[in-house]
Amino acid sequence: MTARRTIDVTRLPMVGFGWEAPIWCGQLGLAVIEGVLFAMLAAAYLYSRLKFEVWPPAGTNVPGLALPTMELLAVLASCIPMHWGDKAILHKEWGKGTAGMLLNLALGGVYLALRILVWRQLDFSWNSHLYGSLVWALLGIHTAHIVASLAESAVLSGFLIAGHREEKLRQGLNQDEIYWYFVAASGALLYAIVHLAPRLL
Amino acid sequence: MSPPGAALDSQADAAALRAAWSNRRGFYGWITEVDHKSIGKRYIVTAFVFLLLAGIEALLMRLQLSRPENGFLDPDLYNQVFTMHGTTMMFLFATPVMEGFGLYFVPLMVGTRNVAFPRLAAFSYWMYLFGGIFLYAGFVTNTGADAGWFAYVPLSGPEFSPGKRVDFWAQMITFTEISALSTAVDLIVTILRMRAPGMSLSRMPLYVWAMLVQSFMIVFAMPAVMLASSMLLADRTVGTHFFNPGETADPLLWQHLFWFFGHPEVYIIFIPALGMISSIIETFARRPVFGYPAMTLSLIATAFMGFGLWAHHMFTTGLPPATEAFFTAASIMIAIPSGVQVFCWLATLWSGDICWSTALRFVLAFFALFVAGGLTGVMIASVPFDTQAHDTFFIVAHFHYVLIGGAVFPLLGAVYYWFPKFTGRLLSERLGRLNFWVTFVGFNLTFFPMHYLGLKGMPRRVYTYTPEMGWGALNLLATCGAAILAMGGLLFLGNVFWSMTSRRTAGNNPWAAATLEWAADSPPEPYSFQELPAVSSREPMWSEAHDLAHVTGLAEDRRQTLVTSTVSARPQHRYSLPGPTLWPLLAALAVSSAFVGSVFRPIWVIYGAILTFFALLGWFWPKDYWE
Amino acid sequence: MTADFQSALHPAGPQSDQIALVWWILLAVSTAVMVGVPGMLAAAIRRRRVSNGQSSERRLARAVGLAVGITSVVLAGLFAASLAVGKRINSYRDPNGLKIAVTGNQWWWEVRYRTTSPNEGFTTANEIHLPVGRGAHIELRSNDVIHSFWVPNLHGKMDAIPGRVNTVWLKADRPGEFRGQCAEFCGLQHAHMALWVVVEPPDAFEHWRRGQIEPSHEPAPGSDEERGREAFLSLPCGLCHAVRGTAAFGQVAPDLTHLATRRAVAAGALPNTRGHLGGWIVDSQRIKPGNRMPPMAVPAASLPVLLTYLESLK
Repeated sequence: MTARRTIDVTRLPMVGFGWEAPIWCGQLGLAVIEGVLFAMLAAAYLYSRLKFEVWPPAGTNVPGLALPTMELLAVLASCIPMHWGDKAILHKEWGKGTAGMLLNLALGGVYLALRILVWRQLDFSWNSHLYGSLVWALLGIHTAHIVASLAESAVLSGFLIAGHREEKLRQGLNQDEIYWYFVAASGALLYAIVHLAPRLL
Repeated sequence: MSPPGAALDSQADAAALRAAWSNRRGFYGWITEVDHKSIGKRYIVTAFVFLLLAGIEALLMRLQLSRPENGFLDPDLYNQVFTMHGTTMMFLFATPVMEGFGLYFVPLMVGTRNVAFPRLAAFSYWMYLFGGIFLYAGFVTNTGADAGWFAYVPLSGPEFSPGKRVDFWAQMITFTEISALSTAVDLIVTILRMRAPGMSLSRMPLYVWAMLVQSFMIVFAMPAVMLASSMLLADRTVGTHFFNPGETADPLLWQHLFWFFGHPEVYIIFIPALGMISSIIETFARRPVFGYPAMTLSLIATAFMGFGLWAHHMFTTGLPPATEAFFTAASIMIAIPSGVQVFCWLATLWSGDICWSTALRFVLAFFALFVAGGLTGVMIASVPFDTQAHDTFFIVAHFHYVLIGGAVFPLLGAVYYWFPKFTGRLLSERLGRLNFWVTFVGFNLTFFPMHYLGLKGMPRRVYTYTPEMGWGALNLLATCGAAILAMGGLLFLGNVFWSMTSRRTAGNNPWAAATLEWAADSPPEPYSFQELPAVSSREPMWSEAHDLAHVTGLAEDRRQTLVTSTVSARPQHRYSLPGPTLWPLLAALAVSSAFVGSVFRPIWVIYGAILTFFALLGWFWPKDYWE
Repeated sequence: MTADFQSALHPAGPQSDQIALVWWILLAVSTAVMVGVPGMLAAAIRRRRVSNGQSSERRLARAVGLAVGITSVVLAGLFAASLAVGKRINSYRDPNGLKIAVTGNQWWWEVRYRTTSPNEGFTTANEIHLPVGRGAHIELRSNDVIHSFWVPNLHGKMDAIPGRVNTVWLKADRPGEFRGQCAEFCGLQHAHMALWVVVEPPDAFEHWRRGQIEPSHEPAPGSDEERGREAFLSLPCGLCHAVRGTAAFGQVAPDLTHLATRRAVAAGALPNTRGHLGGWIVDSQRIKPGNRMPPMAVPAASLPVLLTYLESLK
């Protein structure tokens, strides 16, 4: 038996956070994929617009700017308690963390509610015309992400309230954070494409 | 026994590890499996089954075209067959088989015990399998896609392709793309976070580099086609107007989205093959591949440039001349990184000490076939020439030289090379030599004449032609070539079956190769490495085989491995991996219910999403494997 | 062995000639590489091995660098050549050129000769006539799916895309009959969507053009041709086809006013003979399955006179 070189890892922690955690990297990968998907759809919108003289087509109104702006503010605001809560949970300050999560959920709920109101403002459908198809697709895909992310946050908050304190839960909240940031960032892109672009281009 | 020189007293560990990492036998064990090696093998076997189907479709087409005005297939069936052939080769064979090899070998080559997300790997396999079955279920019920693998609108739209055929095609795209995207993320995280201590980025095997680059390409390319196929499906099922020229939509949008994926797709297939070639040449030239930094930079450059070529598929659509010039320049320039790699391999062979084997033979054939395909690629990068060659048999010849010569020949080489690792048995070299020559001759007889047919005016995707066109003789020659190529395929299968039953075992490192997969048993134990290896060079099995450092302190009675830093692979934390579970299958079924259901009733998108939510809840529900 | 009337290798016009030049240059360079690379490979594997460590690695690096350098220079040269030819082809114009609108349909080509004077334009199908040496400006449209207009002896292909108008100039330097074929998969009968380009001396072209402008041939009273015309008009033919000078003015199928002057029927699927024409009318779905022409229940007695009439449409 010769003495073989060894690396002892007994003292290393069992979990990492942020970039150190594979699951966090995986979540980032998912956000990148969906970001590309969303960017492609935005590109399709702009490309399709090129063939039109009048956009949106005559007789169609661009949804008013007030609600979408409130909507955008709500989602941007919701990132603050998300960040704050996540940091607290990393430091195992559970109470503060729970509060942050719940506040984020509340603001996220406002965001979703406003989104539904924006939707109800539309005076066209997905099958009215090309503009309608594109706007509905952008809103639809993005709203699905809001719902999915809120569902994830709600489940994780449920565990927090139920008293779960596992490392895995901390990691889950850590990864939930970047997903919500992705939702907010793509929400800003949506705002620019659906609400600003037709007014500017 | 994993690393050579492992001590006898670690027998007990082996038993504990085996208990922790193995799965129950039987059907339930099979559907709950999360081991990357099992999933990788499944991917490969499934992909070869689809290759067989696509091969049969190819033979049907060759029979139909063997003489003018042949009545063997009617146009309706012919159009389904060529669509199924292209679709199967691209989506159900080429990409998945490369993913399968990646899933199997990346963790072994970076010296870890499983992929970063084993359940995601299982999920991706199920999605792939269900997507493939779905497409073929359509085909056998006369609902086979018939608008080409590229499905150009408006031909594939609701007006000109009524019925469900194109719906099946479009939805299969989403299935397989989700599968490929999942695997890509899985491999990226495995490669960047789980390499053996000491395996810095600059010590990574070139095959692993290739899989990393390919996975990033998937992440950026595949969303485009998923989006496009979903938009097409929406046009067809719920009356949206994304591609409806009647509503001033531009049919070229589809082509831009499709080729933004479609051209990188070629490199997604081809880049892993480059990695295989590097592995095989290194082993059989008995020296490290010459020019490692140039090789890795070429891979990365190819990937970047691969995203700037898509419009060269659209040179006849009337793009502005400046756009065409840009895409011509990019398409010609991408030959440079390929050239760098070819020359580096030649330098490796030149200065190496060559041992002949069937694997090497298949790789050397690459030099003739891929160079031919690459040259015709440079030809059609020229807009004036492309306006003649585009959509003719010249293109059919070109991309078969690139994809079969450039990817499938190295892939077959890789099967010969890695078969002992999969099975513990060597493939017969004698049958292998015959297999190689028959395949090589058959391939060239089939595809070389097509260059000339294209120049002599034969368009692609025609189900027949009149005798006075004079294309009959060369088509007959190509059909004979296809028969020989098919014999090559049968010889390959014969060799696989013969060798599986042979008693001769291969040993852990039959080729005396350099990389870590050869440190594992053949076939590897479910835990792959009894002790995780640690390396201090690029060719650990050559320079440190008898003194391979290893990791201690990981639990042996549960599934644990190590996470290391991205650049220099310093250990960061231990990492628990999940064991067998049914949830990936259930999640795949839930997602499939949305996909399959929505082809018939759009509301299934909602039902499926709800089912998927519950499946994911089960998947991520806290379990006790954690600490 | 193969025919030369649909071939990129037998150019009959300035543009296809330039493209063929590009092809021969590319082929020459490729042949050199196809000899060179396998040659280097053979040399590499047959060579007797003497390894002398570091210095040989450095020499290899120089060799690889040199090879990459040569590759880059050759590629740059090809790029320049391709660009130059492309520019020359694109800049071709003829101020006296003909104006022809070609429209792709599943699965035939509508051809409209346009002029500034109102009574000089006419419509035909699946056949274009060009005078030698005079350019023709082709406007490409599609009525349904994407098609691609390709007459390899004269020029490369250009797509006909719904919602867009693409243009291309054609010019022929020598007389001849050249075949073109749809090159973009367009559905069931993509294989049978051909057209002929007939290049003639200017006076022959002029004769043809004059003939095409005329309304259809007027049958003599009481002749078989007249009975044939009655049969034609009593069948549903005129709902889709037009015969100028009669009550048939359908616009969704080929104009038949001068059908008998054309070389082929059914977009190149059949030669234009009495027998083939009869077979086509009675059972077009067997000849070109899926095509838009429904089977015609022509009374047995009417068929011969109908064919006589169609044959008289010169």
